[in-house]
Amino acid sequence: MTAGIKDKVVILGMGCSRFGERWDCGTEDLIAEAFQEALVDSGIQKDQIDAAWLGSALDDINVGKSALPLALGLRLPGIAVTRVENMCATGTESLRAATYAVASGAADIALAFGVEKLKDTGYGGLPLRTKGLDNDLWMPYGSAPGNFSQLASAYGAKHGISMENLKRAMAHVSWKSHLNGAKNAKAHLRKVVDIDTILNAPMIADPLGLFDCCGVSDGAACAIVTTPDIARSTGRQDLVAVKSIQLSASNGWESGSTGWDGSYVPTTREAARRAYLEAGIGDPATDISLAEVHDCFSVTELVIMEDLGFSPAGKAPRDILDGRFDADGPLPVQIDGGLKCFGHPVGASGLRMAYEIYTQLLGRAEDRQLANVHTGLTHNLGGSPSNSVAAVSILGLLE
Amino acid sequence: MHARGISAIGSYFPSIRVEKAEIYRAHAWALPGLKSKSRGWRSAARWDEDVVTMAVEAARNATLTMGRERINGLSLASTSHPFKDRSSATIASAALNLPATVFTTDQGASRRAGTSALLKSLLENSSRQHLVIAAEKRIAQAGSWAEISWGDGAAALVTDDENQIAQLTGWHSHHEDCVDFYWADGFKPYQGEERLIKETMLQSQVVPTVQAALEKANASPADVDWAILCDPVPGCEKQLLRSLKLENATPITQQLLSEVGDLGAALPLAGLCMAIEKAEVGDTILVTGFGNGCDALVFKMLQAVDNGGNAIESQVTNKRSIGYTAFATSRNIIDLDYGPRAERIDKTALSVHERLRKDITAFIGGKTTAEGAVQFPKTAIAANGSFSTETGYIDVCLADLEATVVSITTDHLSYCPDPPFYFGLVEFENGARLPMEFADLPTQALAAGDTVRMAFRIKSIDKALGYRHYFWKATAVNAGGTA
Repeated sequence: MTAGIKDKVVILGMGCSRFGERWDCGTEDLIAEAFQEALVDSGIQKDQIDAAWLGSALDDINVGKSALPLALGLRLPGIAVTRVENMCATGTESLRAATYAVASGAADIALAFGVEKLKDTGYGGLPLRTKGLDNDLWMPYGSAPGNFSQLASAYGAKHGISMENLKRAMAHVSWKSHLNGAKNAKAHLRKVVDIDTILNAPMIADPLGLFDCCGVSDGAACAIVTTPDIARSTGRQDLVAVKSIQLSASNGWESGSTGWDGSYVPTTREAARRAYLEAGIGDPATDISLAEVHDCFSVTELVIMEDLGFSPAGKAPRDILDGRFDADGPLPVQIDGGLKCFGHPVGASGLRMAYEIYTQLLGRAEDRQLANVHTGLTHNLGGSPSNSVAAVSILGLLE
Repeated sequence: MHARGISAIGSYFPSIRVEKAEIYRAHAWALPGLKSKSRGWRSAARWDEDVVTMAVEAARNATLTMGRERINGLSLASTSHPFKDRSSATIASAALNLPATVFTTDQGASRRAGTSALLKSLLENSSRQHLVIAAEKRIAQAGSWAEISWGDGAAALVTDDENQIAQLTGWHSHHEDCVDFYWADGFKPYQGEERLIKETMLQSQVVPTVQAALEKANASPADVDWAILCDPVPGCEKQLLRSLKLENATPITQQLLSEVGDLGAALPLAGLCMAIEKAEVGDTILVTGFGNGCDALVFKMLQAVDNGGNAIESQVTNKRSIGYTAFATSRNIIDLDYGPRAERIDKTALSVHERLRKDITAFIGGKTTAEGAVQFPKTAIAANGSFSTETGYIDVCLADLEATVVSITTDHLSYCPDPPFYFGLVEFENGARLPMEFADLPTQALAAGDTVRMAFRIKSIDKALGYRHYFWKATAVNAGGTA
């Protein structure tokens, strides 16, 4: 393991647009909305930014290819701008690129951006897309809920948990996010939903009902990162530092050989292992103050609780139903409503997660502010459980 | 060189059936005359089945126990080939993983094509096996006599000069530009008046042709034990039995017509397969094909078929009923608005097909060592990390192997012409594991741990350009029947 990037980079400013069905906005409007907030927050001028990364996952119905939409949208002064894409983990990928640029010394100040304008597809769910012409010859055209729903039966079978009991824990996950999202002015879905409504919702992909699935949203989020020294030179006192950003990508083992039982996401476990090592986290269940995880579906969040080490094997349903991850629990998860209710503009989601951790660490979260926040974790997952990219970042106050 | 005969039989009938009365009820408000044709059922291929896929399944059933090593010819007869210029027989041969040296031919343009293909194969001077297949998926206009009368299915026979179960003892063929029925490109099928067909055309063509065939076989009409007679319009079979004095023959055609419908070019061969399955050693079987003339073939049973005695019969009678709307939608008679998720265009790049067609069509995975795990698809760097450019792959065909369901879901969001969409992860005992689509659900409910077999199906159809791409889907071991 290398020395890593712990405490080498701090966040100077962050911005996040309101997420939702932004019929009133084009992509450039969303970019401007998030950037304006971040720029004010950072206290710098736009021309101080040395390099920028644009994360957008679904270019065909979004802003198109290349980094030009960001360069043009923000009228950046001819600096290097690069587009990154790593499915739903794109937002964290963008943050990772900007952070590494600063940590390496290649840039003093870098901008990480994520944006997605999904509602112009004209239908719900993720856009239809190719898996690559070779793969399209044989791979199923399954939807995201179809892919993730298979976690449920495998998890239940492995741990001897009935689907009825599993569904109850999954419903609690969604119920919690709706409760949290209702307090977030920027969230897409701000309505509290009761457990029975969740359990009796129309089926999307067995056993995932409507409320077990996050929707897709329009939105943008960004971070301006720099070195601790430069940040201090601006007069900032409380600084949020990047403790770790780690990423793991499937190599085909899960879907191509017989070792994986389908009940967990191996890339999450690997990215978390590396992140904890880099950040010096001994026991994530107690060392982490709050987490924003990739709750694209309720069962995903349930499985993630074990993949990240927050719950022992087979005990996530119990911990969820006991309220361990509720807003008033010992380890709040999705305090901002998560993908489920804050929304999921794919390329922006990883940065939205970081935005919430940053906001909580600085005590700016208003109605949903948690007490004693010192270390936050984001978990951003792209693809499907059997072919995924997982990114885990850990942010904390610079000591 | 011995006289050629039939050494194996197989069929494939989709288990989906539409009650003809259901079709009549859908149109009764406008077409009350359909009531006279509303007894029985018709088979209905699913959206992902066509002449090629059904032909492959029938051929697989025919060759289940005998292997395919001695096959050097494959004929596929149909009047509903999916492509005007892309050989159905060649796709089927590739799917069956037959060598490229196998001689493939497509027959069509007449309902007589099935018997003509069989006759031609039996008359060839060859010591090798030929697969003769006939299949139909004919799509007719809503409310037409054809919609209610026709059915979908396939039959396959292996011809050989050894190990025969039935030997050709006589035949006669007569061609005539006699148009009882025609189907012009771009137009609906059109049939002449029923009495003209029954009383004039069949009498003038089928009767003398059968008589000539029986004479060549040194058989009298009373010697015929099983008869597959043409029945293009109601009453023909019965009338031919009388006219030909086939007093001891058990007719087969009506059962097929009432259980699966008129199978066009596949009807005589499906009837022949049924007769062979039921016949005893020494029995005489007469099969006729009608359409712009007549073929008549006479067979003598040499040995009984060892397939449990009713494999084909059970396929014919095994049915799952669907309503008219689902039936009509599955063949685009009703252009259902599936919403914007159905707007996706599945364009197959021909270069990609060219690169991968062998492994995709025949479902061939590979392993880099004799003891190693199989993987699909084969990749430049194998699952075990070795460079396949150095190790190469040992091909392993997965099409005829059973597998286990690792996970499965019912996806209501993805577009599927026959929703919901079922897919999941499937694992073979040899180590191969891949995500697959499932076919024929929910007829046969599946869960993790269940055993599945592979079925050759349409993977996608390019709605803009008409290209259809084939691959394999997992299905319950007893789905679709095995014969």
